[in-house]
Amino acid sequence: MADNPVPSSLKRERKFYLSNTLILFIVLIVMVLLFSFTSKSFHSVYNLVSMLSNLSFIGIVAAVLTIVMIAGEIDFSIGGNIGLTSCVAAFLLDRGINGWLVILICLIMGLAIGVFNGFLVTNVGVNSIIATIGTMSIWRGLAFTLTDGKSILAINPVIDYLGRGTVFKIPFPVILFAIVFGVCYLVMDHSKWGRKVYATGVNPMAAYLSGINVKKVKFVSFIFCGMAAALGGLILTSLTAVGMPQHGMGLELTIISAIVLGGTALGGGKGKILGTLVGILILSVLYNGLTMLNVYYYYVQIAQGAVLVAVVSTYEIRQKKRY
Amino acid sequence: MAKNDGLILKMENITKTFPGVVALDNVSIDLRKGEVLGILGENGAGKSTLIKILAGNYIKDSGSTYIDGVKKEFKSPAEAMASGIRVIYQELNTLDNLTVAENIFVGEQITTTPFKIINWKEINSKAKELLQHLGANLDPNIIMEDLTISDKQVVEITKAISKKATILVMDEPTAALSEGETQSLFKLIRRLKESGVSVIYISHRLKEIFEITDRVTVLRDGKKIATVDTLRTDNDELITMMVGRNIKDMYPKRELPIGEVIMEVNNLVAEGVKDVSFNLKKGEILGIFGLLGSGRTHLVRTLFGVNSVKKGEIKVNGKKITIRHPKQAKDNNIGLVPLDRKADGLALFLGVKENITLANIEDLGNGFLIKKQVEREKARNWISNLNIKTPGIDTVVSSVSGGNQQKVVLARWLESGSKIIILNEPTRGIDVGTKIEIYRIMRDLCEDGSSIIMVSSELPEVLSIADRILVMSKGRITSEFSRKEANEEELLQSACI
Amino acid sequence: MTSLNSKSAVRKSWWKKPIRIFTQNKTPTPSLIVIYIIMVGIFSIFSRNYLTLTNYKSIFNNLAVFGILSAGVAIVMVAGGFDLSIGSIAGFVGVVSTMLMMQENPLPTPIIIIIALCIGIAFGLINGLIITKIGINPIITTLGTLAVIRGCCYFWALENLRIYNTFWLKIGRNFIGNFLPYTTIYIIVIYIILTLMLKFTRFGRNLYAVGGNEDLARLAGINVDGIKILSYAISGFFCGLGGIVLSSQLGSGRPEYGTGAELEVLTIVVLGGVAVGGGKGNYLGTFIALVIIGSISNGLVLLNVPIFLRMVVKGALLVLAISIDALRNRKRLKLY
Repeated sequence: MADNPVPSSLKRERKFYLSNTLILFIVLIVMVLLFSFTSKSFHSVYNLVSMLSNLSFIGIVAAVLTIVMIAGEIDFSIGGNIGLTSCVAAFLLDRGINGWLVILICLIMGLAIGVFNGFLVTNVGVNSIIATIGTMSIWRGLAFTLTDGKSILAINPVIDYLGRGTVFKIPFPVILFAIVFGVCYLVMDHSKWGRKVYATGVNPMAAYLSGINVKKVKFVSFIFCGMAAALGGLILTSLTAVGMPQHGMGLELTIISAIVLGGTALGGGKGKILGTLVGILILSVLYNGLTMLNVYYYYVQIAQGAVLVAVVSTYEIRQKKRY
Repeated sequence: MAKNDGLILKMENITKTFPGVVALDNVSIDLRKGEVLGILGENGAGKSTLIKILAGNYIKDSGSTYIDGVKKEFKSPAEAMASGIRVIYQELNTLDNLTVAENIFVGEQITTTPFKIINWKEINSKAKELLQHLGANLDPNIIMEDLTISDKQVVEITKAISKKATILVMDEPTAALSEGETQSLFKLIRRLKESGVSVIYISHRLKEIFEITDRVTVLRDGKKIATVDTLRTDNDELITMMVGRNIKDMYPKRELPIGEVIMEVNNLVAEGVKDVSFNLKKGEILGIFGLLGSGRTHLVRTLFGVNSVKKGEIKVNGKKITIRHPKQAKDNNIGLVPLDRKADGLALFLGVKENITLANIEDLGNGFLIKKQVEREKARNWISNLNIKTPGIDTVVSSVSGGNQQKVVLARWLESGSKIIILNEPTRGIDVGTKIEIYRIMRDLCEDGSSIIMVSSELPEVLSIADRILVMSKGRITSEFSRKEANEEELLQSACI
Repeated sequence: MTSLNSKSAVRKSWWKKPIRIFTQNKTPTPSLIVIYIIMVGIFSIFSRNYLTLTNYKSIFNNLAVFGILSAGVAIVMVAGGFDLSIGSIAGFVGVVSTMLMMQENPLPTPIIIIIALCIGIAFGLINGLIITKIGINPIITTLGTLAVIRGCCYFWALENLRIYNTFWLKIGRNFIGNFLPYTTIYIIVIYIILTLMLKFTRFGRNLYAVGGNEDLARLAGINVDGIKILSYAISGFFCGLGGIVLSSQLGSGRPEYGTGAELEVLTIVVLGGVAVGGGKGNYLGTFIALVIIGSISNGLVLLNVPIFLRMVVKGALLVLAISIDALRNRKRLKLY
């Protein structure tokens, strides 16, 4: 198949990206409208708050995972991390440990998880896909072992506020999400470290030979991701008031879908935090809307899988058409 | 309309444009049966476009191609291959996980009926036969991964021949070969000629053009300048045709003051480096000449912190330093323009400005954040200083030409404040015009107080540019010459010890 | 070409040396055998029941489903692909088969078997088509189909999905002469056939070619897309077969069966020497890895390791397997 090279200037690439985001926005608006018309409870305040809170905890993890993916790696263990964090938190609260201390401990655990993942990927050199699929199982298994498969109530004023508190009527998780998202955006689009991440993703060898400590960059991004997942786990625990080893199961699909939808490629080097935001919005609206329509959970799964494949297909097809 | 004039290939009035640039403008070339035709031209002259059209990767805008008198239109590489055209690219394309025999017969494994079972015995014996026909004694059962580049090339050529190639195109085949391997390759090419294969030989190395080709076609700026008999032309004429200006002496002469010792390497032992000692003086260009396997690149990697030092020391400005990571090299103001700029030197999806500031991200602002304005200024500064030809500072660096890409990498180290710059084959794969620019830049840098270590396997380059030349062989330095004393024979001799 | 490969530049830590012994070889098989022997030794020390015929029958019979699924996944991975949807396909096949058998006038069992296998192939084809024709990364694709198909399992499943069909139940539970499970025979036969296919057919060699260097394979005239699609179809076929055996062994076709199978199958295949990037792998290694993993699962049960801890062990095993794979297949020393 003969091909003509298209000299691609960055300008052209930007145009391409913008149109993708445009598609996503259109999809988002269409979905919101559809659900608003078909389900009365969709645009109730209660639902909005609930959706936003859910969206927030997922979004926090997704924003930071985007960084890992731009660096050229991936972390499938976030779901297991969330489950483990949730169980550890509930476990500790059950034994009367101070809420603030619990938060601290969980964040440190998230850090440790990130360190382990980072070590496997950067030091041992395992492919991050498989490595994190493996560690996902370890964290999940530990969660089940800790609680012996049962759920533990997690009620504590500090923890409760994490997920269900409000600041001027805005749910606290949303505030956290805005902060985390804002920081990620700032870091990736405007900071020196963010530039190093992009360089690492585009060409790790060139980055290394330019004096960038590629291993450190990847390692640190895994640590951030582990901590973000832990934070997400805490928020989820608060939202549900319970620590369950099943928390976060299947979330990998949703989050990675959102990130890929948003334009971040699996190979690294390409991607924008803003794109992840749009991806999260779309998937959250989808999930929420379908739930409002009383759609059975597994159908929702079907829908998510289908949306992922469909949207990524359009990206691929559009890219092909240009040549 | 069949034309029977003894030409196995005739490309007439080929024109090809891309958005914004005319790559080929009415270019015509012809290839006689059993001859070796050299194609010379700077980067951007159109050589690779022409070959891609011949090989079926691109479709020409206008013109005609005749294979053995028959007009052909290639719409895909498969069609070109079916007509007997095979291209051996500089970056070899092999299946490293399979054996030699499998590579030769990939996709067409010999089978026996019934049931189309693969006949390994026959595949291996046929492969051995083909290899020996070309004078190679490789074991067909070896896995490609374990072979040297030179051997892999032989396998690729064997593969091409086994598929009945009548026109073999070789694109810079000796780029990664040692002198001895190059001679082996030439022997092979002569054998191919004898068996009636016609060869198109693309190379920047004039010496090789004179050694192996029968005729030479020179391209410049998308146009064909001339086709001459190799025996009836000389260096100056060819260079003049390539650059369009008379360059009596390609390499600028320089006599500049050389200062104190700025870097000392004492009894360095590392992987591939047996026991190396030398020093670098301020303001000088130190050339390191050696053939493949001499340890030059190992030395470079050790100096830059990629490989670890086992014994010995490196001193900069009199102080002993330890370099275990490129970052430390950078902090000691050492920079590296690596051998393979695409794979190791550039972040291809990022823009020119990002690549220029890659080694000095710290200076792009005061705190955590990058001041975009600062970055833009720095980029513009270096683009103008080094005369980097690019549509804009944000242009994706993969769409900039090879020579300019090299300048971008160089700019990166200048931006980072390197005083000692190591260049590994700085002008490989770069057109003559940009080569000269780079030499001039090197000289200017030395005037300003930088010092350069230039690793090169191009004798003319080393002889003309370097103030001092070290010759390496098998991990050691075998001799040292000043520019005045050095000559080709002694350098080569020293490199072959 | 020694200038780019180097092992000595790695700062040797004392613990790396023994690992090096296992990863230096190009074929993992010898080291796998050693691992297995060591493991058997450890388990038999801690549990008297380990080295018994009953136990071995149990181990080998339980290997069945993973062994069959591994057969298919290995083919896909040799060609450079990935299939995470295997568990869902197997589960779906189980659900549909059970429902067909529970009908008033059920179709003849052989027909149901054929339908089951066809469903597997169909899903495999869908995976293959999406990956080749649309061009989506195999991980994302099969992640998506994993979700969709699993959702379909629940969508279609009825309340009480029990199998009473005796023929079906025999498929996964019977033994020859009371010591050799049918399923082990299936696996051995399948592995032998696939090994022959890989070594002696063009398709088999082309799989390696595509896995080794896709562009070159294309240029050489190999129908790369066709090969990939076919590899996924084959994987789908074996998922179907695996689903049949799974439902047979468990006696029902519940929609959650097969969840998480990817994890263990991936462990087995990677441990057995199929490189993650493609282009390498053979069934002898896969078989030994299968036995190792199966024995570990069994050993954990015998040692009364709590059920949830086993999950941790399985994850740890995958991590171990892939670490060994990474150390083994480092083509270029990872500097960064």
